[in-house]
Amino acid sequence: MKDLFTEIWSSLRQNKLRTTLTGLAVSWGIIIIIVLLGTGNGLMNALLSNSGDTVLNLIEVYPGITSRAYNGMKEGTPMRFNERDIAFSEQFSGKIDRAFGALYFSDTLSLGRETLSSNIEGVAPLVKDTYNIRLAAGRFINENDLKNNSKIIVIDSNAASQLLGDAKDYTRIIGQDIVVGNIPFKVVGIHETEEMTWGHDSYIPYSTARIMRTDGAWLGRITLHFHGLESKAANEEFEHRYKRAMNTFHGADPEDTRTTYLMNRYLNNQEMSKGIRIMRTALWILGFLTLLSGIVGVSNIMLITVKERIHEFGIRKALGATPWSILKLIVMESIFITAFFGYIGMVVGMGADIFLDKTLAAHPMDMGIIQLYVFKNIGVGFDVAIKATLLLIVAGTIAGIIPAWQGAKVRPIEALRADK
Amino acid sequence: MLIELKDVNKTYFGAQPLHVLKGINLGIERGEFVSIMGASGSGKSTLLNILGILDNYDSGEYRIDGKLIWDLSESKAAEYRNKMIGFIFQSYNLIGFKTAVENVELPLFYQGVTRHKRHELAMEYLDRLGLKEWAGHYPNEMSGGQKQRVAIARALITKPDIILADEPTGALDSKTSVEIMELLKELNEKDKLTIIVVTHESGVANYTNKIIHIKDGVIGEIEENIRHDAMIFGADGSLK
Repeated sequence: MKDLFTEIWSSLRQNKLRTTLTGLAVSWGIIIIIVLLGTGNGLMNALLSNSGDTVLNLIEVYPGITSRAYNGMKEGTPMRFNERDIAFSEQFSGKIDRAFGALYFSDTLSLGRETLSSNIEGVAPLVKDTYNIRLAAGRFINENDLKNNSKIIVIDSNAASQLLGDAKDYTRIIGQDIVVGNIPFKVVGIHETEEMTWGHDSYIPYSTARIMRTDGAWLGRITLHFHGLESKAANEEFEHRYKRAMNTFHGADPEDTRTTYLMNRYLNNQEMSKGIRIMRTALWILGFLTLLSGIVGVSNIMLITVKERIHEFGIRKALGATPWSILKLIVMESIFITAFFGYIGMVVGMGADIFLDKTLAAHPMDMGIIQLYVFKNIGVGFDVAIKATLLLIVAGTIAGIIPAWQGAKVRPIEALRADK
Repeated sequence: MLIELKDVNKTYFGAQPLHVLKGINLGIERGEFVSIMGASGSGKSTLLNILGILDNYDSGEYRIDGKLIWDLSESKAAEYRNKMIGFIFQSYNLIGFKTAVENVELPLFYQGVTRHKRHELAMEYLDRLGLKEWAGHYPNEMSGGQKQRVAIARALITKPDIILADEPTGALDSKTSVEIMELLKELNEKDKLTIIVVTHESGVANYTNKIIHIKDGVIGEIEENIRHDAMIFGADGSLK
């Protein structure tokens, strides 16, 4: 074994340029695969984290417009939700545990001379868990606030810093009064700004919002918590029945599908999982194609190597080398090159992933009105890196075998006659 | 009889079939120092290739020490070459990226001899040929005569039955040629080695004890040359 390595080493040392070129092709292949898979993972992590929600058994109901005339109701009549719809939804099925509404509008927040515009949602306390709202400081809306129609508000950290003109110590806004429109509200909590957010989001008690919007504001959304819908079919069937019931409740055509829009987290999640699966497959296919070009490169170089060394093989055969020993020599050389440079490629590739994670994935991309992370936790698992490298080594071996076979089977007189 | 050829024929089938060896009958005893002489195209190289088991023949019989050389697998042929035959080539055929001693070791490597033993033996042979100081040098750092002596050491190291030398002085100047031929002569006399030299130079042939002439694929005259006066060249020590 040691002899074989000495043989390989001396021939590799002899042909530095060829060795370097082969090695470069191999390393580059591995680097590309690892960076590709790493950024792909980053992209998927970002997708998953931007959606970020953990509660899956949730349907959001948004009002639409009737798309056909029915029983005296004209086509194009807007659906309007109010508290009766919440009550109706809650009783609609035993599968619905809770239903609650949100009243939202847009208004200005101001403190002293600082003013900004924000979405304002009148919500129930449950919203915090449902939408995974993370508090940076203070508290969220509670049942007492609802009961007392308290004029309290929870704003996001960006809004807090902006209103104070102080990015660092923004928690000091808690307890202060800010003006919403023209009504003073006391700030009781600050929630972390979402990674993916459209401007500012502020929360006030549902009951307070209801009083503020006596001018006939309707519910922007009804949220249903359900249980026991475990399949796509069950969810779709449930959605269909719910839509019919709501249509009937509002006197619209039961079969009209435009009257309500449902956003079903369970189904969305399924769609997303499917999308991610497709993406993952696509990434592996791309990786495999990269690998294939690496294999062709190795094979090509091995072919040239064998041609160049055919005279040497002739000498070796005259001195007693069997075809098998020649084959072994070439294949081992090929394995040695791919393993060594594959390892280097793996290390560099993982280094590149770390670098990309520290730069590309460290900050959200600012797209004007929306900030979002395109990449998150770029990188591949160590196992995947090892697997890709092993795959390349195996492929390199196979790539070496065909040229090696040609070298091994050449007849000694032909080989000796070949030009040096 | 160490080498026995009976009615050996060889044809190269190309665009025009070429009958190169037309029934060669030849016997060479152990310890003989013979040359095979002929012009280019006479078939002498083909004969050498067959003798060296580098090529096969179409019909007839070729035996080394009684063993029939016919229809051998590549591995078997490699084993026979390794154990029974030592080659000396016109162009030395040393491996460029190996040092002198590594080149000499190579046949033993294919016998599976341990590293240490191999090195020891190779150094011994290089020493015998006066190249001990050159053991660590690469072929491109040596003169033609030195390279040929490395090649001779490599041919000797497995203690083969036959040494086959194909134009061993073809690439050397006349002074060095004399040295190499003297060396082969000495190896034959002292070590009782069987040496077959293929050449087209009469001076080289004159060094051997028997000259086998080959012409147009058949064996012609076989001259006994014990007194080394068969040729006008070489008698006075000048080869070229």
